[in-house]
Amino acid sequence: MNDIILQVENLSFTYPNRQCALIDINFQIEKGKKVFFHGANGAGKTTLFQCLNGLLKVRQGVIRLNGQIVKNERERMQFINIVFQNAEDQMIAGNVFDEVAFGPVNRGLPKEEVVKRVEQVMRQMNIEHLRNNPPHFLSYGEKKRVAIASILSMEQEMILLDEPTAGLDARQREELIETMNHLVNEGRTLLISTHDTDFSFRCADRVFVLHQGQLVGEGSAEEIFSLADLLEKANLAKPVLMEVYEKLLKYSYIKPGGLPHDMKEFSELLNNNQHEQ
Amino acid sequence: MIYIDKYAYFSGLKEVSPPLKILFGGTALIACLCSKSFLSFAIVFLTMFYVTVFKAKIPLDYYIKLLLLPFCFLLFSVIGVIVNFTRSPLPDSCVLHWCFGNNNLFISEKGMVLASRLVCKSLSAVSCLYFIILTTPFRDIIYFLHVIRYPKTLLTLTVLIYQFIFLLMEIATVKMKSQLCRGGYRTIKGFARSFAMLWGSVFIQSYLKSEWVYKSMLARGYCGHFQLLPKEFRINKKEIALLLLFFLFVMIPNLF
Ligand SMILES: Nc1ncnc2c1ncn2[C@@H]1O[C@H](COP(=O)(O)OP(=O)(O)O)[C@@H](O)[C@H]1O
Ligand SMILES: [Mg+2]
Repeated sequence: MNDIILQVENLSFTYPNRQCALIDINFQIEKGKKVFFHGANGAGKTTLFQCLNGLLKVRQGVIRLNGQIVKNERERMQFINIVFQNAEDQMIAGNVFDEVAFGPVNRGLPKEEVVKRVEQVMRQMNIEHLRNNPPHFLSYGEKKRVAIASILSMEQEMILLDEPTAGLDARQREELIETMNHLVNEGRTLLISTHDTDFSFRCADRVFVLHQGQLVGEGSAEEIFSLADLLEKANLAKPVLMEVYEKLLKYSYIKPGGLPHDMKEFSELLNNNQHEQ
Repeated sequence: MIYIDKYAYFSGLKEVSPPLKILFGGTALIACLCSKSFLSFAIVFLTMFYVTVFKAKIPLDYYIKLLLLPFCFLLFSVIGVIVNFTRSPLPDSCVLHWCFGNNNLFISEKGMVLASRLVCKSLSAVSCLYFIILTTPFRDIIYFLHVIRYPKTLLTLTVLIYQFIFLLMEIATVKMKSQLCRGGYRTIKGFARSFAMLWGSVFIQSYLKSEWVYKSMLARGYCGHFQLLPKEFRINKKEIALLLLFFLFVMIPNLF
């Protein structure tokens, strides 16, 4: 079950102005997981994603997909795709339908297949009613959904989401989480960069922490977020639920065990403790 | 290309006072434009090359790429200077010729000299401009223009055009990336389609963005031209003397 889909070995990257954005990065990712990358602004998350997918040329280091070294940027792009941080940057078509269809059309798929995929993805992302609107004039949340849809329609194995929750309201966030779960259930692998520790605490299968271009932490959400030094160093806030849980423990309102990851689990935890008292 | 104005912020000469850099580039430029001698061009070009690559530490490959850009234009325009056309008999000094009945195309020695002078002059002049661009942040150039009483309207136009060129380029670059991710530009047909879509949306987006920029400027009291904080730009006598000396040095070869 533990198929390693992506391996990164000794990856370093320097921008043309000689700024080292990534320094000797090593990690591997299992298939079908949601993996979160944390780090302060400028830590190198976006740069890492662009290196993985091939938008930036990797001169130092090796990237393996399913065990095979893939040097060619175009080949990597076929396999891994990015949802950009800024949804607006992705909009290139005159209306939402064409936007979502852009990728599949470039693949050279037959027309019926393109239409089928686009319709399905638009339904999934709840943007069917916008199909004839020009994407530039949508609201931020709508643009974000169109951007995600335009990547999903390519049906690639691995999707990198760069700061997907920034600018979304509470409901849109829930919808995003639902979409992510859906994708993972289909067997796709998601890499997500974010500052939002509540978000990753709730969803992450694994968490990585970047600091000034270096990978400084790796582990499960619980492991990473209990390292106060690391959080301090990387400018990260402790997830609220974890903080509350620890406070409740400290004042012995609850018994140890069963750290809750979302509000539902938290209510259950409180319920259980109440019954026992 | 998008880095061209960013290098100034990292260059090895960022501590040197901006007016000195601009005046140095400017002096060399004027000297170069007033000269006829190949030696003068060589002096200017080599000086600028040395200062830009070794002092300002601009990567050599990038610098060469930048120089090749105008060079390509030059080559094409120089063809017109080298190749001449006549119906009358060929002049003596012609090096090569093709005859089509009565019509003669020919390359003369005079044309060759003229053309090579043109190429050398242009390249060394361009190297002066690159020196200024690659070592002086745009903001300082604007201050300089402000200090020397460059007309306000033109100055405002310069700032706006500059900002919007980079806005346009940035938007186009990032959109092109997003298209590459989705398999654009792979086939000839795909290339044409992607390219057309790119510019359509770049213009819409840059229009929307520039509207926001304009609104934000209005909100901060913009009324037709940029007001700049007065800033002291000092340049001392020794530096002026050195610049003059450099100018004369470049001009000397013209005397012979
Ligand atoms: N195009 C670029 N040119 C030069 N430096 C860049 C460029 N993009 C990012 N950087 C630098 O690389 C570092 C990492 O940036 P980035 O990957 O965008 O960080 P993050 O996404 O984690 O906020 C930053 O210090 C940033 O200044
Ligand atoms: Mg980023």
